[in-house]
Amino acid sequence: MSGPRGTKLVARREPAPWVESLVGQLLALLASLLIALVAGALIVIAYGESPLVVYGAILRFSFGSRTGVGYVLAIATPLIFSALAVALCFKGGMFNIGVEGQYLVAMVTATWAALELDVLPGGLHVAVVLAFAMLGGMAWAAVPAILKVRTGAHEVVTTIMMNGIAISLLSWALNGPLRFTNAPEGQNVDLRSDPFPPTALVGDLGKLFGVSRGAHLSWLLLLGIALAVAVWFLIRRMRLGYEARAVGQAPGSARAGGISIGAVQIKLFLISGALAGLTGMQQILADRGYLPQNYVSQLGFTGIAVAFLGQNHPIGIVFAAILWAILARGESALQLETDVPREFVIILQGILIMTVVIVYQVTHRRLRRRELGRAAIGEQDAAEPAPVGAVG
Amino acid sequence: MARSLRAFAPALVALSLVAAACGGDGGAAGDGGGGADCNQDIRVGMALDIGGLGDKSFNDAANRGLQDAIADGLVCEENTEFIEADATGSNRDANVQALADGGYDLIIGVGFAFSPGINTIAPDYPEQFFAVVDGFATCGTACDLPNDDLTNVTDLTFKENEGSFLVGAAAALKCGCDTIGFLGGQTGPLIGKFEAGYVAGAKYINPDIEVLVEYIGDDTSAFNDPTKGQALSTKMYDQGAEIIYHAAGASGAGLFNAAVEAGKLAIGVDSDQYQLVSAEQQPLVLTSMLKRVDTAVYDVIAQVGEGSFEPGAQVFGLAEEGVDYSKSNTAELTEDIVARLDEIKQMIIDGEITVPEDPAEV
Repeated sequence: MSGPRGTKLVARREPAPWVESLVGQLLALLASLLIALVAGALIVIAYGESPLVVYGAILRFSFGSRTGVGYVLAIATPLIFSALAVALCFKGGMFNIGVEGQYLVAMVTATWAALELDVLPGGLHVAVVLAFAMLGGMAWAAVPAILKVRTGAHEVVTTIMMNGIAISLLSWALNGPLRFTNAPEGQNVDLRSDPFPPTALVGDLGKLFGVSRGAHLSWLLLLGIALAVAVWFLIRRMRLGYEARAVGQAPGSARAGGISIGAVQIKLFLISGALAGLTGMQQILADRGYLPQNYVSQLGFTGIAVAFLGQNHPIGIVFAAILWAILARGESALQLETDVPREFVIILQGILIMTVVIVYQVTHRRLRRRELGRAAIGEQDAAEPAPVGAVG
Repeated sequence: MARSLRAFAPALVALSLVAAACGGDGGAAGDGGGGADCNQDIRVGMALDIGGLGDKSFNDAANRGLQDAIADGLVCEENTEFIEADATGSNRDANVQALADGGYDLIIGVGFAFSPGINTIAPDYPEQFFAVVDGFATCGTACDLPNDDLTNVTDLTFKENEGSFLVGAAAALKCGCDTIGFLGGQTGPLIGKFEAGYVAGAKYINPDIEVLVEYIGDDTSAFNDPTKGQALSTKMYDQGAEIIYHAAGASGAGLFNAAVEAGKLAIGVDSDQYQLVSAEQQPLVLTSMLKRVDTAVYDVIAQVGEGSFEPGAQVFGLAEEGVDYSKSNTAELTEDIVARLDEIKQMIIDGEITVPEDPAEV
C-alpha cells in the first residue's frame, strides 16, 4: 500500500513494493468479489433461482455483444472521473462528498462554453469545453477547501451543503440563461439547454469497434484511463503526491517535516474538483448533446463507492468502475431474463463494498506488519487526532 | 483500533449514500387474467420510469392499460415484458434498446424522459413500433432531436390542464373556503400545466380564492420524495389550506399522510388514488385528476395489433377521454358537486372555457 519506499538498501529478488501492493490489492479485490458473489448466490438460492442463471444473465448482458461491452464502458466512464476525484482527496486524508455538486456545476459551465464559444474550431472547442468543466468543478471545490484550511470547517459538512446549492444552481441555469428556446408553440418538451454545436461534442469511439451508437461509447473513456495513470503518477512520483500521503497518513510528522498542510489540502481539493468536473461530460457531450433537466445524478456518490472498490488506487478504480458498470447493467438483465428483482444488484453492490473494506483491512494490516518488519519509519503518530489548521 | 475504525467510517458513509441513492421502490409484475384467446402475433415491452411498478401513480396507470389489453386478448400475457429504470434513470435508453433487441413489436416508454432516446434508437428498428407516454419524441428537429418523420413512433400526450381545471373547481366547490394548496413535483412546464389548470379551475368557482403552491424540487428525484412531500403538505395545511392537490408522482404518498394528520382533504393525480391508498387515507381523497395513461396504452396496443398504428403525436384531452376526474369518494364528492363539474366539463369540451397551460397566464 502506501507505505514508505526506498528503505530497502539490500534489494533482492523481492518485487518492488508498488508491485506488491498492486498485486495484493488485486487479490484483495478478487477475494472480496468472490465472497460477495457467494453471499449473493445464497440470496438467489433463497429466492428460489439458480445463481448460475442469474450471474450468467448479468455476464451475457454485458459481454454477449459488442454493444453490451460498449454500454458497460460508457457507464464506467463517468464513474472513473468521480472515483478518481474522491480517491485523490482521500489520499490527503480528506473526504470529498462534494463530487456530486462539483460535476453539476461543471455541467453548467461546460454548457455555457459549448453554446457560447462556438466560434472555436472543432478540436479546440471541445478541449475548451472540457477545460471549462474542470474549472467549474474546481471553483466549486475551492469553497470547501478554503473553508477547511482557513476556518477548520469539516469538508464533509461543507461539501454536502455545496451539493444542495449546486442542484439549485443547475436548475436556475436551465430555467434561465441556458433554457432551450426553440420549441414550437404548445409543444411539451423537457426542460433543457439548446443543443450544442457538433464542434463541442466528443467523438463516438464505439463505431470503430462495431458498437451501436445507442451505447454512446466516447473517447472520454480514454481520457479517463489517461487521467487515472496521471493521478497514479501524481500520487506516487510527484512531490505533491508524497506530501499528500504524508498529510493523509501522519499529519503530525508531515507538519514536523515542514509540509504546509493547508497548501497541500487546497491543491488536492482543487485537482479533485477538476477531475470531478469531467464526470458529467459523458452525458452532455456524448449521450445527449445538450444539458437535460433529467440529467443523471448521483454519479458523485456512486464514485465514492467505486473509489472504495478500487481501494483508492487510480488503476484499481478503472477496473472497479467497469465492475460497477457490469453490475449496474445487470439491473436490466435480471428483469428481462430472470425472476429475481433488480434490487438484487443493489444488494450485491452493498455486500461488495462491505467485503472489500473488510478484506482490505485484513490484508492492509498484513502488508503493514511486513513493512514495519522492514524497519520503516515509525508512523505511530498516525493515531494522533489530525489537526486541521491554518498553515500557509 | 482507532485507526481501523476510522478506516471503516467513510465506508459506512459511502454505503449509506449508495443505499439512499438507490431508494426503495419495486413490486412485481401484475397478473392479468390472460385468456386462451389472445393475439399471439404481437409482443409488447414496457420500459418503466423511476419508481417502477407500485408507484400507485404513473407507472401503475400504464400497467393497468397493459393488463386491460391482456384481459381483452389484445396481447398474450407471456408475450409481455416490463423493465424498470434504475434509481437515477440512467439506463432508460439502454432498457429501450434491450427491448428493441429482444424483438418486441411495440415498445412503450412510460414517461417523457424516454423521448430523446427513442427518437435516436427507433430508426434503427424500422419494423418495430415505439410509443412514449407524455413524450415529444416525434417533435424531431423542431425540438432539436436528431430524427424527423419517424413512421414507427408515437407520442401519447394529455391535456392535464383540463383535468386539473376540474379538480380545482371541485376543491373550490367542496370547501367553500379561502385557501387551498398545490403540491408539485419537479419545477418546470410539465407540472406547470397541472398548476395552471388547477388554479384556473378554483378561480373559476371563486375568483378570490388563494392557492398556496409548493414544489418539491428541481430534479426528477422530486417525484420520489414522500418525506418532503409530507413536510410541504403539512406546511400548507398549517397555513390554512383546506384541500391540497398533488402532481408529484410517488412523493404524493406524503400528501396523504399529511392529510390524515391534519384531518383535511387531498386530491390525487394520474390514477384514481382513492382506490390505491390505505383505508385510513381513503375517506380523505376527495377526487383524483385522472390521466388516462391506461386508455392511451390500451389504444396503442390495439393499434399495433390491428396494423393501424398512428405515428406522430396523439393528444388525449377531455373530449378524447384522455383526462377526467374520479367520482369514487361519493361521501365527500356529493352529487351536486359532480353535476356542476360535469357541466363545466361539457363547457370545456365545447370550447366555452379555455384552460390555460402556463401558471403565468392564470
